[in-house]
Amino acid sequence: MPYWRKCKDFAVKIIIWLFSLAALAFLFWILSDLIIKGLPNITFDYITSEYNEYKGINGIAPMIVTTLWIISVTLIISGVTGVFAAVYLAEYSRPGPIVSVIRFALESLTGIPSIIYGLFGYIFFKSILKLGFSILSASLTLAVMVLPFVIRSTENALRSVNRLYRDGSFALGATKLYTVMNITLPCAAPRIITVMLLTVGRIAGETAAVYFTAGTVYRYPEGIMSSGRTLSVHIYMLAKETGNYDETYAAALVLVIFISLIHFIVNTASRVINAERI
Amino acid sequence: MNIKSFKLILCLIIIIIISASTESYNTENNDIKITEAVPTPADTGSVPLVKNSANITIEGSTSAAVLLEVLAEAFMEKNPDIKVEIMANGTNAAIKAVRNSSADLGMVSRYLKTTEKTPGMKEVIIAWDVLAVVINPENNIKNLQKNHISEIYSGRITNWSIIGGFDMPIHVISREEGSGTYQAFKSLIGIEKITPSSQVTDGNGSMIESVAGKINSIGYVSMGFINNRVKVLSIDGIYPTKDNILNNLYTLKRPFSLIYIEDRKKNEVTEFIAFINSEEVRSIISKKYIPTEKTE
Amino acid sequence: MRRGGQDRLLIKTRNRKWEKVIEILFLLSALISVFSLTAITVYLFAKGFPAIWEIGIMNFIFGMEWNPTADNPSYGIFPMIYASAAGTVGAVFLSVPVGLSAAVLLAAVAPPSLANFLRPCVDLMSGIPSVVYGYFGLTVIVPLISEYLGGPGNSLLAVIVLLSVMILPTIIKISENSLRTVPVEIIQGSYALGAAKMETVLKVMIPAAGSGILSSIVLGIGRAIGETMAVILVCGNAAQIPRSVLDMVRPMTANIALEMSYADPFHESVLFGTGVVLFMFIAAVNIVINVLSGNAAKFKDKPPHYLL
Repeated sequence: MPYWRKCKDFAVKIIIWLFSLAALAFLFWILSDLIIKGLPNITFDYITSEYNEYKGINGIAPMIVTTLWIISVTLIISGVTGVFAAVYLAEYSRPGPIVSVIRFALESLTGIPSIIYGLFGYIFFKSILKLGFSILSASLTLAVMVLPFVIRSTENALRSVNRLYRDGSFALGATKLYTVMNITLPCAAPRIITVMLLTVGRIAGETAAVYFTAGTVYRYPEGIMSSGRTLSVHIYMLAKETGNYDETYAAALVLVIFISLIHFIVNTASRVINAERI
Repeated sequence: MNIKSFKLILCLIIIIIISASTESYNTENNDIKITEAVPTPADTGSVPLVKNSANITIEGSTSAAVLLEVLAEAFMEKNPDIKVEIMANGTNAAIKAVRNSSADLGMVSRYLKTTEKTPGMKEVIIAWDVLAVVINPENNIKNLQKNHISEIYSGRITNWSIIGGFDMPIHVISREEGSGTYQAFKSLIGIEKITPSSQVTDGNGSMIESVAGKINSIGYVSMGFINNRVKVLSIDGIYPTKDNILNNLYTLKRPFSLIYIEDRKKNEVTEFIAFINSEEVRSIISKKYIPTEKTE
Repeated sequence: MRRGGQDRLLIKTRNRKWEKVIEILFLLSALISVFSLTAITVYLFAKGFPAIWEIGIMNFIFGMEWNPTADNPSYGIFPMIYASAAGTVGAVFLSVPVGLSAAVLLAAVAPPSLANFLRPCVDLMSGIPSVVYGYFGLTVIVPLISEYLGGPGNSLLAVIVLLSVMILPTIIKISENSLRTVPVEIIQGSYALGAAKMETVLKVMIPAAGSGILSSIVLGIGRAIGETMAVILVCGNAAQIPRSVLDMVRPMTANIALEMSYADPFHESVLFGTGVVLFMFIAAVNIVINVLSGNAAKFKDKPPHYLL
């Protein structure tokens, strides 16, 4: 190979490495910044106490509780409908107008930004269904938002189940429903669980849609009808109302740790799942 | 996609449009009903006072909410049976919410316009919030004339050197349209429109953050949020001290008041307002704001 | 199987009914997405369009002045449309070279062990919530811009930098995926003809994965236009046409989130109207994606959007 071609090849390689390193460096810049400014302020008290200006306490426990509430309610709603829909698409549907409409809707929903979901939730769930600023409104809004992701990934999980298992089940005289419930779903379960975990990450990080539907009350929620402030909304409120560095960075770090933990679990789990398949 | 699927979508859209229009029609109707059908005092009186389900919902100004949150905490400490819920969503929302009874009390952070008052609406001023004009501590200016402030905010003065400062462009910082602070400030300095090239911050905290971050900036915040990262200016030679404020010498101030409709007032609301007028609460208020002079 | 024949038949018929019911339940669940999409579109338009109509479509979209609470209010959102567009275009320009490099690195250049370490990093990057990006931008990037480049710091540039970082994972993941689906035969053919590794990457793999890469960029555009929480904290929110990247801007999303909580009914509808315009942009992006993935289907490597 001529010398100049080797040089060119090398140069391109260097550029690729440099750009990639720049991206990686930015990620580590953010993370280290968060850790340096946030970690010293995360104490046991900070995580377990309430937020109350009268008493001068600025913990984040109520926000964590609200976040968990919203995550669970959203997961229940979107999990059930999402898995059902995925089962329909993967097992029952035949190519036709209904399926193409559903696919079109899913594709479009994926592209809609969260603030539009927020506006929709604000007018539909909060005002028209009169659910008010509540965990339920927020969860319904978020459920609609994550639904395309849940359906697509679950459908993929179902499709990845070995055809032989299902054919075997049918050959033994099992009905379709029986096969889905006892063969396909259990086989796809590990993957579906990782899908749900990823959904948890998305819900926890969402701000705009929750801000419009769950409100900003910083007390412990008492049920799905009470208003609440999730951790991500809390970060926004702290940033705009108090301007307190330490608190905000601590809250941000807690949220990022939570989400990276989820990603870590998902990564490990999917490595195990893939290894099992081989 | 084929024609059939388009037909399907079309049908769905029509169904939802119809349901949407009837829904919105219904809600409009409800609004009217609520504003007209004011429950008579006998009605509210006859409701047995079930303490554990008692609730006061308060909506309104975000800046007043900061104070009200604190007062509500103190109130709930004393009356553990009563739950106060506060929603910070702006002064305009407060008026709307009180009118259609979705809130028991509204927090208002400016004088009400006469068009906004409905018959039977009561207004209780609980504190004075003082708007401080702030600049970066490294700026040498200490005092500004009121008309200079108006000219800075309407974009006619654009350099600090014109008003005796360093030679640097003025970075004007304002608040978002509709916030009580923004409206109060605009009417207090008497301008119709703040220059569109001003930075817009979305809260008192980020206002201080922005002013502290840029040496050439000017902003305005509620006195309760002042910290040593920004410098408060005196206006026409008058510094916002408590005396100057109560004597009406310092004029950049606005009332924080609670609004409610007399006929629909719950017992808990009466208790809450009585609590706010107590001496103990006035000391809480005076930490960050100026309590009103006792009228009784 | 101890049951008698007739009994079993009964169960079978009952099961069949049951199966039908369940199947319909599954179908209904799947149709929820269709209902949601229709409901979102209809309610958004029902709430936002009357206001646009009253202001006048041209006045609304091309109006230069935004002053909704004045006695003589004006509702022009052109500066915001401009800001959204400028921010997005800038972010794409910054993000595509970096994202593509990283995708190539992961797909072809880096040793597998390194790639296995880097891939979770990309996931983490997409996992960081936008509000955290925003706060990082506000407290770190904005002061840096103000100090070294001048201006207020809260600027179009800050928006572009943040957005480009935020759409990076989208571009990396989908591009990497379509690079990986390039048939091995083509790559080996290229090597067999004596091409160097990078020549193969640039002249064979990237063109072959072109439609996938293109749709990753379009998806990135969609995300950038719709991003709210990160942008609102760093953009400065001045509703003006920026004269340079160091000027403050207010994208459409920031406008909605900023004023929503205070708005009176008409103002609120106008903000929904801003949402309608945003929605139109997103719809346009979606159409482009559909066309692209239609093209991609011809090459048998339909880009997996669900990886997002």
